[in-house]
Amino acid sequence: MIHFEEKKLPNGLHLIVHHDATTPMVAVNLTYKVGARDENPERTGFAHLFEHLMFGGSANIPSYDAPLQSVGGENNAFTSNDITNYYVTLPKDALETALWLESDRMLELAFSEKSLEVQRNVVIEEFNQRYLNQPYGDVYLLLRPLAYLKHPYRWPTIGKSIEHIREATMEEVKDFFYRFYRPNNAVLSIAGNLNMDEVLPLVEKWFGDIPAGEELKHEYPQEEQQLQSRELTVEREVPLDAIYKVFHMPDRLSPDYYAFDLLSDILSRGDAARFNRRLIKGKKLFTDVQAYIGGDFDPGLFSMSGFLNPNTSMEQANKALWEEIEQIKKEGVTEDELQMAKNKVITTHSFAQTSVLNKAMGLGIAAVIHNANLVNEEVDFYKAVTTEDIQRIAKDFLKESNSTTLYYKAKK
Amino acid sequence: MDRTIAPKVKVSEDFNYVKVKSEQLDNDIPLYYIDQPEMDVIKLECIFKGGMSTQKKPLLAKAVAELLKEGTATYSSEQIAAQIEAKGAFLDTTAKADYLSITLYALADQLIHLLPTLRSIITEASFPEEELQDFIDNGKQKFAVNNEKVSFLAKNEFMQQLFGENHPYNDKLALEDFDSINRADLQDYYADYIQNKSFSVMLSGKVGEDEKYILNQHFGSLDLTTSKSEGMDFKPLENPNKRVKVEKKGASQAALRLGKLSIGKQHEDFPALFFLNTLFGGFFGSRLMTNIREEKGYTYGIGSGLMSLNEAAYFFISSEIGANYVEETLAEIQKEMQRLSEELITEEELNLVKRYLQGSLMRSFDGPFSAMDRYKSLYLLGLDYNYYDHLWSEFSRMTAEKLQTTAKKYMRFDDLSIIIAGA
Repeated sequence: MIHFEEKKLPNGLHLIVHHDATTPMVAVNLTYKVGARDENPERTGFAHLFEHLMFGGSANIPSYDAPLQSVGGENNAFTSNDITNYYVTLPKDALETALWLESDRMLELAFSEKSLEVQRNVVIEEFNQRYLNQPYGDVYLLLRPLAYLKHPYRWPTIGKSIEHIREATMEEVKDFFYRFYRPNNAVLSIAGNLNMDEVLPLVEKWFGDIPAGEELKHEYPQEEQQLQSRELTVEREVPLDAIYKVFHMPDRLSPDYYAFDLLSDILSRGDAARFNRRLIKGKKLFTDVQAYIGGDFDPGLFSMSGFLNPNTSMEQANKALWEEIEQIKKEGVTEDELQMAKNKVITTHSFAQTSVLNKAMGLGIAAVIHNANLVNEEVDFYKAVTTEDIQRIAKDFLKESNSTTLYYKAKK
Repeated sequence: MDRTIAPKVKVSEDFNYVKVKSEQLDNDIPLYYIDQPEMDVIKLECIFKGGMSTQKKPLLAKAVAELLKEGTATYSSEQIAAQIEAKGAFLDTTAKADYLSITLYALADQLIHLLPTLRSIITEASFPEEELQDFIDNGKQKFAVNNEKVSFLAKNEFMQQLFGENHPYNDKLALEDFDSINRADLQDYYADYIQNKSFSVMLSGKVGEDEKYILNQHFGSLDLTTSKSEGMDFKPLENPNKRVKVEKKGASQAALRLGKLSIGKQHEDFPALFFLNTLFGGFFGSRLMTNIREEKGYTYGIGSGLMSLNEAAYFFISSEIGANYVEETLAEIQKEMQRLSEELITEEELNLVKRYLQGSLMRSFDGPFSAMDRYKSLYLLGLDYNYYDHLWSEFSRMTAEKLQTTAKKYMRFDDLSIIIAGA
């Protein structure tokens, strides 16, 4: 159980404080409610480019990193389709340094042309390193626009095309900043050996005078129900054929989200899971095959991906995945399998709660999803899932008409 | 309020950290533990000395580690997986350069149900032929995929250049290596270094009297002997190639690895070299990152590091860079390295790196699992906590002159082997 206190500043900044007496460090996590789904379809990759620009200095402080490092702090950030998350860990006595730095870049960025030019290039190299110059690196660049026709999830956080990054202008950067990087669009969560009484005056001091921005609705064009299966075949310079199959699933707040997460675990988490026992070891069709969900806030994807053994055909691989699905629809899963998956979730959850940074991050992101207490309630949501639920979601969602398949063939 | 002025904060100069406690099981197995009673989870790690350094063929130690959980005299692979996973636990077996470890992550109250399986793995692993064949077949396919990655190619060639063809620290594999190992090799390795051989146990998390009692019940009655200890008779290469190109057609980026053999944690110059490496390429604000990423935008990331093994130590620089920027990047690396010897570091930068290092040392001890990892790194090299106390005090009194002297001795660009994997 993670105990926490909450406050809302008059400018809308949502503050969460968790007390942990066992650590000399403090974690400061700032979640902005802006991700790739908030981007203009003609300017994709912006939320992520922005994450880079946030380290290029702010209105009153030329360097973000140096002052933080000189008090022993460390920081990083990540961007998803739904949020952008910044985090710092530092010795507890230096908390105010982190608040000073984070508040100044919320107040106003330096908007230096040089920083924009360099970071555009860094992101282009990141695009190369992660998506183009990796075997199978472009899979989700291909799959997303196939699975989504309307929702902004149809592009990945890096963007649809690197041209969007190349062409980003300072004017667009400024508009994006003043729209999304406002206190009323952010959650600040702090965990360490301190209480709200100590933290609030410091947060008010540094964040209190930052003006609120316009209220954002966070509404997005929703996908229409998929009525027909889709597929795409590509050929690439890779050693093994691979197959990717995705299905639309419910949103992050649906009770079925937890059922899907458990179903993916039953299929492929660990050596005892079905895919490992039956498809890798038993039938020896795949060298690796996984099922997973993405954790998207809006209705996301339930995915399967497999690397084929050299003597497995795409038809065999495809058939094997459907047989696994059909079996669940027909016979369901056993109580033991479900309990095993739940127990793994419980252990993972307990380990995650041993880190002050994980706790701060978990609270902040939960607050953005729904409310901070979701971090405590989630285990119960997992426990509530029944074998009937698993069978039902398989029947309702894992249908041919709701599927999108990518056949990723090795050039011979 | 003037936002241009940093708030005054006072960060303690004292270095307080959690140390392990130690006991012995009934059969003298050393037990090191860190107890945090508020937790409900436990991490148990069994450490067997040897690892890759004692293997007679490439891949052998990794194969043994991988197959430990794939069958014993009592349990099948499937049973082992089910026994561990039904309790929500995770079992990880790995072979590293100097040791092999079996690690269990679990809810502490499940420990009693998990130890019989672990005991079986340690005393009676059976290495079924079919499981070995799966390991070989799948291993080859994964190897083929990895060989498409420039970073993998560069790292492997670097180890090859540093240590030479047959050195066990050289983990570069060839496809034939997968076919060269057989069941008897695995059984021999297991008999020599794991089966009923003495090992150490590291417990962290919730480690109360109950947990220790249960551990002693299951492991304290094992009849153990000391494992075969042979010194390594391999020597690293004396004159590695200075520049090697690994061809990878169509790559839009090249992976760079530069480096050389260096001094390890046991050496008196190590704290200064560690400081110097951090300044040079060891953190986000390092000179390499500032110059090559933040100024020039040639790469998503570049860094340098120091690795201490039992019988060797090395220094390396690694990056993936745009194919057009290779020569420019090498020139900048050379320039940055020369600056270390030629210019004295400013007071400001010295203090920044000092505080950063102290903060990161504190962070690296935060929580029982991290604190245990710090102890493990000492234990494996035969060091004790004096190492960290010494490191901290050396950081505190580091001077620009000392860093310059150290750079002249250990950071010469001309000494480096340069590996470039790309088009």
